Amino acid sequence: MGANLLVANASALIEGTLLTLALVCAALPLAGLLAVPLTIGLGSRSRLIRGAIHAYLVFFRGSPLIAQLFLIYYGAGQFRPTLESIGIWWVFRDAFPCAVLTFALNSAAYTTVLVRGAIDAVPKGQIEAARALGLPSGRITRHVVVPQAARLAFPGYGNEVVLMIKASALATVITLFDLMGTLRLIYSKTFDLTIFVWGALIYILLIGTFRTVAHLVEQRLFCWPKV
Amino acid sequence: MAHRQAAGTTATVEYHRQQRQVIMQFSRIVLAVCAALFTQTASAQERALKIGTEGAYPPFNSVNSEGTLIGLDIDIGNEICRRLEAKCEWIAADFVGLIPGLQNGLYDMVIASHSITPERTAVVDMVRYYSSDATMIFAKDKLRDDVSPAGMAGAAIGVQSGTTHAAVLDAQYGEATIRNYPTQVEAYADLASGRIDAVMGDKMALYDYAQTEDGKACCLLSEQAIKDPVLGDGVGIILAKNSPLRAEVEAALTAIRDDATYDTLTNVYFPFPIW
Amino acid sequence: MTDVLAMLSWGDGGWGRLLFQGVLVTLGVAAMALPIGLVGGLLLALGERSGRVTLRWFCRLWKTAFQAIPELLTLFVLYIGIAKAIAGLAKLGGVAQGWTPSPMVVGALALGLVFASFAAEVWRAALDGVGRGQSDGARSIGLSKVQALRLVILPQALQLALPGLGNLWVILLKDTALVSILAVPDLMRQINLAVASTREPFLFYLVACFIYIALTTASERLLRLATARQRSGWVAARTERG
Repeated sequence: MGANLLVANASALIEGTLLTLALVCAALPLAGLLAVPLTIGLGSRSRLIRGAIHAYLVFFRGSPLIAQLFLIYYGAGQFRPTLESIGIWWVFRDAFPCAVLTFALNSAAYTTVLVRGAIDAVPKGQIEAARALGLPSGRITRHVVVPQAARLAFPGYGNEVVLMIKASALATVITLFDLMGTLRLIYSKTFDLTIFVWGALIYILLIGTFRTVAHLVEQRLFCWPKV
Repeated sequence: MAHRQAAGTTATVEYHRQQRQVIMQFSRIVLAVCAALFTQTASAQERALKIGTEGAYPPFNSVNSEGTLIGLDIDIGNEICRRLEAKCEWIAADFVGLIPGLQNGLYDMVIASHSITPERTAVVDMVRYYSSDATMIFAKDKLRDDVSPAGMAGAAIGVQSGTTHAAVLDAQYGEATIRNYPTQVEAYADLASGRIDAVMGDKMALYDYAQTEDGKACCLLSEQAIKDPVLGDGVGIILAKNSPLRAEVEAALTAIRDDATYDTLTNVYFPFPIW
Repeated sequence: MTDVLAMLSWGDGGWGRLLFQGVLVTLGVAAMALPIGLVGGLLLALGERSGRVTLRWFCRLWKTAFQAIPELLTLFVLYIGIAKAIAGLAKLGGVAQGWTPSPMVVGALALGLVFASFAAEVWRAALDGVGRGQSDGARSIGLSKVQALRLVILPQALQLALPGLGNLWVILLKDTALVSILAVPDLMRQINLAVASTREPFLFYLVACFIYIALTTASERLLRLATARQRSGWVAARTERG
């Protein structure tokens, strides 16, 4: 019970937490990378591109992450020969890259919607004024749209990171021993409920730390005087 | 109030005390009769036994497309209920939660092919209903002759989490990579797709998988047996510690074996004796 | 292709009927969790605005905890914890174990509590959006605090909160898939059983995704209809201004 349980399993818990952090730190940048072309594509004039991106968004935002994990992990296993012949089986062979890929695809969908919303929320008047001043398109994007969109999107993106940390707990269903998986393993050996309480505290600590840092970053980065 | 009581005679007080005593005794009798009646009625009707199982461990327990639990565990359980003149109520749950569920009174017994280990018999009672060795099933091109920890160094071994097999792998097979799956079936899936080299489990269950289409195509069952005290001795039906059901279940099993019903039931799944 | 249709069919050997039953259970769990989440969220939001410092802090802590803890963890802790608590109480009372909590109810409770913690934010923004003028006005015509809340503030707050709450409902629908881990016979579990039996993970998990998408898309459409109708009210006039 209590502190004994924590100390006895400390190394396993630390390993689990590190894996959780590894999942998040690998998936988030990948999601960001994926979100860029998707966001730009949403503004495209081609209905085909917009339609395809919408389909992607509906798929990954409309279905549960756990179903997506099972689909990609076990579904890929079913198609191993095909994937091998294309040479990408290595991505799906291990659970870690599979999980990272799934989390990234999922998060990219939400991030795209978020960023697109932020970009659209920048007052059109500003863009028009910038054009009237003769600024080229690229400069307008870089100096007018992006800073304001970033400021609008920041809180929402912070939420995305928190959700990702929580979602990483699902990696346990495809055999990864992240923090949640470690908790389940320890419980199955000790049948002591308090290990889950300790785990909850660790998650709260992780998220609390992130939120504090995010708040500080927001203060530093975005507190310029309102126009 | 106190003033008035002090003013009353001791005889009155004594009378009230006796009245209270009579009421208490009467209430106790009523409660006892009610309790007796309740237990009487419970056993007068056909009693219901709640049996917990998993549902993802073919051929012992699995679920068919009608949503019904099927398998040897279910067949034996139903036969026991028949002998005990009780109605079986089967509940499927996740494997790790079965023993805690029994301890918390969710089930009267659990029949899910649990190995009988000292760790488990310390907290629950177990009645043996078949025996099994542990072994490994390998992907065809990854077959190894030596299934000991030394022989399996560097291999990726899949196992169902929470089982005794998982405990043995965790304790002994440090040189190998261990992958824990929520159910046995998912371990087979990864074996077939080549993510792992072998799956450790009960010989019976692995034998059954090796007979399926997928199993025949992908894998080979090892001839070696893995022995370890952690694996326990035999496979048992789980009952709460000191449960009165234990004697009944043991008697029922003896009867089932004596009149060869046991062989009839097991031959459906295995062409060899498994007691 | 005929194989696929056979596997998904309604009749014998096909998993169609079982999947349908799973969908009903999924909706059932979500429907049970919803009132817990709505009412709980409102209570948390009201508690956070209360004058009593301890209540404020308690609500804030509760809300933060359930927002930060992964839903899966909450699910496990409640499932195991409630069973243990009931068994412990039963032992104290000397009663042979009578009542056992069904995983479906516990799952709904867990999801409801998580919903409540996020709904608290939505309710808070909505209550703030209604503005002090309304509550001051209500009090000044003699309504008690509770009456003011019930008759004046809540109806307006509900309209403001609807989009946010609707979003949380969609998230709730998807989160119900987690109760499959407790062997609740919802859609996700039936899909897992189908996969175990047929060894066709890609097909069935894809079907699972599509069914959930159908459920969430339908919910979103209904939500858009509901908020569009309400847009024509005077509340819309206040919110459109900004």
